[in-house]
Amino acid sequence: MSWLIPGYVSTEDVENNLRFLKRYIDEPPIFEDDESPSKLIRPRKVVRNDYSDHDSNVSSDGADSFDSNLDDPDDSDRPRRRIQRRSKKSKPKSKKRKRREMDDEELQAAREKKRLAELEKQAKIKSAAKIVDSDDDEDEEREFFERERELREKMARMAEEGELPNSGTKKKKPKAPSQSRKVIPQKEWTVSPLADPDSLDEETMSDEVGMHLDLKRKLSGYDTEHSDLDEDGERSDQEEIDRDVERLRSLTDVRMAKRRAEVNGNDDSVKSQLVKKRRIISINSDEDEV
Amino acid sequence: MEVKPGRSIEEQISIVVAALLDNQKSEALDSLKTIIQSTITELKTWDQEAEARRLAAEEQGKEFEKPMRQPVCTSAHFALLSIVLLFGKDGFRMTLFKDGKLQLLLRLMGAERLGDRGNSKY
Repeated sequence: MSWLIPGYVSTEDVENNLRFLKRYIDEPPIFEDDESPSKLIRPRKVVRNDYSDHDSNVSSDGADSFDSNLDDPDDSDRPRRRIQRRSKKSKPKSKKRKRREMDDEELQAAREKKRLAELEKQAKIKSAAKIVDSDDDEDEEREFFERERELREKMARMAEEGELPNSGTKKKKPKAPSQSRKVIPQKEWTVSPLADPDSLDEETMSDEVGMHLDLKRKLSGYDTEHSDLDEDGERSDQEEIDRDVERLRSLTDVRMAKRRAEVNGNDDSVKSQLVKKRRIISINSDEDEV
Repeated sequence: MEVKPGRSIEEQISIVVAALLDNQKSEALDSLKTIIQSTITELKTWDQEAEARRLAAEEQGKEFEKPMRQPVCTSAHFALLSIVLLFGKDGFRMTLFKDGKLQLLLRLMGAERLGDRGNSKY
């Protein structure tokens, strides 16, 4: 830390000050009212961390600044000037800080937006996964209905065969289904994919049951109407139909069990409905056995 | 540190000196006195030299008026600035570093601490 005499301080000023110094060292001043000199000295309040302001002050005042600052008895305006300077300085600073805060806010808003977008994205992905699952389900259902349709066709075929007494041979069987396959199921399929899967299921089930009953009626009719026909042929036909009915019943039972397993624990009402259906079927099978 | 405003430089010096004497800093005050004395001698020699240069420049200035005067003046300015207070004993430097009142007195004498103002400008 080195001290120096600045260029704007004249040698005369320093000489004068030295004279004062010597005088007061030799004859210490006595203050009125026994006022302690230490009380007249206070720490400087202004912390100068900006040199440019002082530079401008020095350059503008030049050699006069020393006199005006120190020799002037009206030194009291010095702090005022400083305060003014400080207030001038503080204004733009605060502005800057405000702007920076605004930036922070904006940043935070942007961050929030980004986070929400991320969440939305994740949700979309989740829903997409669900959609894929349901698609799989639909495929499964379609498969199930396909099987159902085939079964119905088979039943229709059998019914047709039952209606035609002369075609009761095994050889003629494959001929009949080509017609029914073309007309009946195609009509049904135009409705079913749009319909509610539950109602559709019920519909098909009732259809099945109805068909079952229909078959039974036909069979009984056949029994009464064509009793005068050849005994052997009739019996063979009857046996075949019985076998088919048995197979159908077992199939529906298995399917029902499967469905119940799927639905199990999901919905009680659906469960009860299924139980009802089962009862109907069981009644049906009772009729079969009779 | 600063003396409460509203006083002349002489009053301020008297106050600071009294305060330092109250704190038994007469030794430091004596040292300061001799240092300022020697500095003034140095300042005077610089002033004389600067005056001599100025006179020489004026004599020559009849032939090369403007180009010569300018650098001579600035060099004199620099010369005045380059007067650094030589404290000699390290003890005084330490006392000065610790004592704010002593620093205030030095400032009142017209000295400045390097770095207090934008000295780099010169």
